[in-house]
Amino acid sequence: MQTETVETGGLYARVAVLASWGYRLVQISCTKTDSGMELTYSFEKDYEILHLRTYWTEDGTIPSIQALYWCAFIYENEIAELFGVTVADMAVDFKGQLYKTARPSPFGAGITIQEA
Amino acid sequence: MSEKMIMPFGPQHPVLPEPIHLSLVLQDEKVADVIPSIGFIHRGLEKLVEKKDFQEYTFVAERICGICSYIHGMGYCQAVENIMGLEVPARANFLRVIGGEFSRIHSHTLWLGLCADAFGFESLFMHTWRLREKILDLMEEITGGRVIFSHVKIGGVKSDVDALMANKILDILKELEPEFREITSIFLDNRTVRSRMSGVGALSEEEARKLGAVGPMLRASGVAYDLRTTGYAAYGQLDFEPIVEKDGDCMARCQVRIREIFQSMDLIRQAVGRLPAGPIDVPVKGNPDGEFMARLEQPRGEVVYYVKANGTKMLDRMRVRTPTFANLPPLIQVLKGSDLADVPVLILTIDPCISCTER
Amino acid sequence: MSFMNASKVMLRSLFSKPATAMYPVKKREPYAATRGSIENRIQECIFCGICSKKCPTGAIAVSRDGKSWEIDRFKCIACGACVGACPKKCLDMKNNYAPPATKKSTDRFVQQPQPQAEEKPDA
Repeated sequence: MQTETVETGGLYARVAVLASWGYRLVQISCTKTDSGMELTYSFEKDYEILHLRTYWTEDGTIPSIQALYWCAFIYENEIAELFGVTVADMAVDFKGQLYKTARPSPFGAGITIQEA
Repeated sequence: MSEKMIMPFGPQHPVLPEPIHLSLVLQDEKVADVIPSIGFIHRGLEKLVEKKDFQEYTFVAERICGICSYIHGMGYCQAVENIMGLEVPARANFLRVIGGEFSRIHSHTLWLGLCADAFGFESLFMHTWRLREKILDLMEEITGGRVIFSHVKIGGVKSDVDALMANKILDILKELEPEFREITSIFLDNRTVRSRMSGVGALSEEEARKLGAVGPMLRASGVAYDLRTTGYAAYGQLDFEPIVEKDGDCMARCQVRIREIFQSMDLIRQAVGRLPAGPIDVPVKGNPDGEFMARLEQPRGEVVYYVKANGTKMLDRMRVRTPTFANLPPLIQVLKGSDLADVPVLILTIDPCISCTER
Repeated sequence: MSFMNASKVMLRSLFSKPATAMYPVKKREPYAATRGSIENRIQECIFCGICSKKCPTGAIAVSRDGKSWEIDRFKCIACGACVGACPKKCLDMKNNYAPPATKKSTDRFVQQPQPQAEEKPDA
């Protein structure tokens, strides 16, 4: 899987280029790493997929791309609520109300599955 | 203009088989805005991957959804096979196509029934499901399961289709096709049905692209986008064209699904006819290491499987982006400005699968 | 566009047999491939415990000392992983479903002592 690593600061500019080329947002996913979270933004055009990768640490923020892709709100709110990633300046911000979870950021750092 | 009011829709509602909550902001009888919220049945299956052996996880992946379970299992297996560099035998790929297309037929038939129920045509709902039952029976005979097929495994499939069974599949399809034509013609021609669906919830081609719509929702708006054309499994060796409709309204989405039922029947016939001889699985050795994103076409649209493995039995991450999740923004778009009475039909035409959405 | 085109289908079903069956009275025959329930031919079992390790839901409990094999039918997902893993091939996938019940329970199979000790499980 080919990924292109971008700084969080340069993410918005890179996504803006892809948006102008007519790419479609496929998904935003989040993976827990030792130091924070690894985010993968997938875009697609004519069946060709392109992944942008960026890293988030506890004290950082991820820029929102909703101004470019309005439909990103659902993914951004998902990673904010399930993983505890801080996404800055979301236009559509559910403030933790998209998912009804029993505890905040259930997929976040330091949480392991316990046997019932 | 009267004042705006908020009306809760769901999680319990006669039209919804599964729980999703929508706060409808109403102005008179018109929907001004929609705020969705989910999480009523969130099971954390993506997290469970940290506790389950990657081979055992196939069973969990299949249980993400009861309707598209076959393709869920297939997507997960394809992602892991790609990481491990496993070459799936040709016969297994054809059998996967047969299973996948049968599950598409039964999913679309289920949707047709639910849709008939949503606009209040109960006897049509019963008759559509009567046909679906025959497809389920055939699936049970082939794979051993009615809803959770457990047919796909990493490296191939579990059970084979012999010559007798292959003939039976063709016979049953021959018998079912006229019955499907008869029932689906009611959806396509009937005045009552048309009056409820024509011109309702139109989504333009540009909007559908911009909002990230997938599957029949996208194809009904005139975009020929079907991931099966990328040729995963054995689709590369079969002849078919993505089914496209122009109007983008509820009727167009219904037409796309109906035409896809017959397309799937055709694909099954092709696959059965060209079924190559050979083994149906390859042994799995070692553990996966690496990452891959598999994309498949489910009955409801594009599904994305992202698997990240670290060389041990447990995977680091498994992420599913299900079609219904991607279709939520377009749903919000079509609901805005619609009549309150059309809301149930509109919600149903995206073919919502909430258990998919809430992995 | 037409109307009343559903009436042909509806009229036919008025004069034909119902598509459904009276369930508890008339039961549907399962297919040969149907994954119904797991049975153990307990006399052949060597209580190695591989099935309980392979079970994705942890439905099987094996006791080597008590010579017993226990399955929780309400946890079992009839995936067939244990059947494939069994070294003695004494596990079978039967095509009849476990009956519904109002209380959860487990099915216990105990090996009867054999007159001539053919195999010793403890090696």
